[in-house]
Amino acid sequence: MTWFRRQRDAIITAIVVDLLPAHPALDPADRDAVAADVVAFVVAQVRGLPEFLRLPYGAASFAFDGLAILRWGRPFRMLDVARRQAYVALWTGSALGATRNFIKLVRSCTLLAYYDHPTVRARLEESVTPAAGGAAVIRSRAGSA
Amino acid sequence: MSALATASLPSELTTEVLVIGSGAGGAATAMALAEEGYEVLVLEEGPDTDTTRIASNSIAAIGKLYRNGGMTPMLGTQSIAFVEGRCVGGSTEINSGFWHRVPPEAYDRWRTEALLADFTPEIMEPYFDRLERDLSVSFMRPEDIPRSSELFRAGIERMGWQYVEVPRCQRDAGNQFAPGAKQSMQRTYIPRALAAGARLVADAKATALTHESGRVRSVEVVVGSGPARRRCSIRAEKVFLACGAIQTPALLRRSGITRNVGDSLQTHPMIKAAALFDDEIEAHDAALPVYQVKQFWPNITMGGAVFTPGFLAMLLAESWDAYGHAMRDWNRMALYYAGTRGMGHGTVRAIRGVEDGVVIRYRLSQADHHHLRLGLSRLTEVLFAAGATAVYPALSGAPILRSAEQGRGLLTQPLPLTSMGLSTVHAFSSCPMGENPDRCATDSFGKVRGFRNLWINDASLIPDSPGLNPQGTTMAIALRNAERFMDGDRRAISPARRASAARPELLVTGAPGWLGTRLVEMLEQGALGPAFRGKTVRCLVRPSDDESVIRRVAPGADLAAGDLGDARSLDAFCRGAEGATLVHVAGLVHPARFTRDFARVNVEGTRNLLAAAERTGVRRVVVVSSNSPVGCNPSPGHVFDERSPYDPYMGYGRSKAAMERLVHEAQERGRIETVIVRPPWFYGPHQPPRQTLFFTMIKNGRFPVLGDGTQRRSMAYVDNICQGLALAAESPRANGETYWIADERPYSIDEIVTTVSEVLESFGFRCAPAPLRLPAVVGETARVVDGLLQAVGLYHQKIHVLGEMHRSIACSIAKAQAELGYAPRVSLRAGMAASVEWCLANGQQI
Repeated sequence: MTWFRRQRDAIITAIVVDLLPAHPALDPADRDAVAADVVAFVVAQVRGLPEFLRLPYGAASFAFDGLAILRWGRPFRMLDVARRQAYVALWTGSALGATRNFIKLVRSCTLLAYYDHPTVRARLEESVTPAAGGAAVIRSRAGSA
Repeated sequence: MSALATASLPSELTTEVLVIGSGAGGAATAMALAEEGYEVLVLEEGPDTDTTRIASNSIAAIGKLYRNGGMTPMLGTQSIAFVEGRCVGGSTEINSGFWHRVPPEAYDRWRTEALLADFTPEIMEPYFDRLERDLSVSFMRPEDIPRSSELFRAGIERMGWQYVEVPRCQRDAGNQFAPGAKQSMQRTYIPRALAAGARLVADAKATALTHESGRVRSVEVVVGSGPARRRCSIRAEKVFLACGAIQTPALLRRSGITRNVGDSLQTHPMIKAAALFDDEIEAHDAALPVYQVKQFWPNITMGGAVFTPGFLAMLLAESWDAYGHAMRDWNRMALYYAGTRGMGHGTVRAIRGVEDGVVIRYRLSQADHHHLRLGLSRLTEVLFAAGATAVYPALSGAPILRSAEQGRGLLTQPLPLTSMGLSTVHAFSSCPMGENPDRCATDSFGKVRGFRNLWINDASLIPDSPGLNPQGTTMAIALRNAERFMDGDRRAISPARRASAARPELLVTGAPGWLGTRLVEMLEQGALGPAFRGKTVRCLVRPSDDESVIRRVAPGADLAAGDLGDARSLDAFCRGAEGATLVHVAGLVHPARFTRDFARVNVEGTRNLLAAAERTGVRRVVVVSSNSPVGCNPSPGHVFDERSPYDPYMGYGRSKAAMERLVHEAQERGRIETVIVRPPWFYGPHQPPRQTLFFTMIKNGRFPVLGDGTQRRSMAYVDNICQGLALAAESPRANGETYWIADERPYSIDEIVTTVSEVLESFGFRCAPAPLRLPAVVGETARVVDGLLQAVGLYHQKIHVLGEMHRSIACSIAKAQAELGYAPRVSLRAGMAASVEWCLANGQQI
């Protein structure tokens, strides 16, 4: 089971890294640190799935990794970035709900952890752009005009 | 939080009231009962994480406070993401704290459909008044109302729709998610319950209820996790389940209790949308939106949702390729929802063999589908009326909506359920209460049908969907049911409260047993002499015992829930008994299977009891021992006296000898007086089935007389023993002494069998002409087998009894006669006749 969990976590990690948004731009060191935290969060979320879903989800992650061989002769984790993204897009747009949901769960957790990460939050607040037409900020904080 | 550390939780524990779950229902129940003097233990499956230091919408909170990290699906045509708390305080630590009273029309509907009794606005409103004071339910200060809410209100007013501002459980207004602001259970009822004496154990999951004949005997619990994980068993006189609408039915079903349990789950499904405005909103830094559209209630409710950039990104993930760019405008966006009352059908099922295996299904009805589509369309309309320039609905593959017209278009285009990103934070009605036996799992006050000591007190009870946040309804019902329980219980036992009302003069353990029952019966009847007339008596009763017998024979006795293995309960049992006498009758003679139980009950139990007596100032402890510490007579004519050396017979004898040594040690410490009373084989009213079997075997000629039948046995009629106990309790001379208490003389086995046979015939039974006679070697063989079994820790009652039937166990009562004035009044014949009469009067089959 330890081997199974380790492989599953490695596959999830690879997907998470591919799904990390480019916005906002972060320093490479910050990005690596954020990525590590996001990966840890998503892996923990998958481990925390209800027991009866954890095993099927683990099996699905193996299927995701292995089925890439049919197209490119290599598992997902060994593909280059462009092919990985194409493969993720393939699963995201699949006609099968199960494959869409597999990616959706990882993507949702990834985005949540990424955008609520303190480093990213700080960067977002620094990079707030004025509204179109230069509309004034009505309230900078709740409770103050 | 002053939680009881799990590390100190013993493998067995006893309490008067066990509340499982510390959320809205559990905390209210624990507080109400603890403040009335009940001994309350609260179990919480989740951790004792202090939420005054953690914002409940943070990533850290999701890992620590949410069940399954917030990823619990309700399965169906389209899964619904269900979020609930799993920590001390339950979902009140993670929810919005919105507060609603029961809608007026729900009262009538629940009375009509669930046949819910005593549930009217007049009855319930005072509970809401009280709760709203306790939880600081209040409206937000106008200057704190967030921009996203003000925009939303402007949109609603432009549409001309009805709306309300919803109050919340919150102090000092400000940001709802500021740590410590919300008046959750961690900040209100749990501290009150603990201050009133309740105990709280976190990281403790109840896995099953052990029950028999409509009574919960014990609750099996897993404590901790990882390598420190272990199991324990809690015995409680009353059990309240407050684990929420999912875990309560799961626990019941896992325990084999299934009638109307988990068959009618209801929820409020909702779909969200993100709105982009021209202005910066800073919704991430604001308080929770407070306005709700009520124009279409109860079918549709709309309002503002919790916002963080992460939550926004999660919604946009529904169509990330199309929506993802919107994150660049995150500061001009806010989240809103359209929810429906929920008219579908849900179930909760436990997966056998999987500890956390709970499958939640919810089948959305066509009406739900319609209301969600209509709600999303109207939400889009109101958002554009509020000034939104774009709306991003939680629909996979949907385009960005740029106008109200496009929002209305949602009603005319295919919008399959499977495209909707649905979520819910409300679950209820999985074990509805009411008098309708076809649909309700409990009566009108949460008492589980078919059970005498099991209640539910959480959102499971709500008869059907109230169409609004159920926390207020759950808590008001919990307080009402707790008060109803206490009203009904005032006639019954309540040890802590009675202990304060009456100082017991006599304490009795083992009262539900054979000798103990007769002792309290004779005390009640004043049959033990003037010294005992009118004495206040308190009896220790295990939660698993049937106390009705004692209640019948001694209605004046105070019954205290407890167990010899639970030192804390023994302190409660002895509390207020300074100067009293304790008669320790409880003991284990025939364990179910393992000999280790001898030591647990007879030795460790006595050790705990003596310590409690010493701590609480009990004056004298009279301990009932046995003939077994001295074994069997070495020769046919020999009789034991109090100077006979220890020669314990098997495991039972060793445990009783060890118990006597503990008594001697207590005597030497000098804090209490002690007396040891050794009765041999006793007989008389209230006898257990094994003794009736003795009569039956004699009647049928199947009782084995081993050897020539001249071996002797001392016997003791229970009334004689009770007289001896009373004398031992009162006599100054008895302090520190040991006494044999038995009938006047020993009898031969032949005489015993013949006497019983003649008594049975005098009651009209036809008895076999002769007993079953077997050579003494049969007894010796049984003794060897018994010894081998006990050597490996096993016990077999019949082999054990057979193994000593060929031996003499005779004693002298001379010392008791001389020093105590003991004079047994009942002969073997009269005593056996009284026993047979009792058997016939109490339906025992001879």
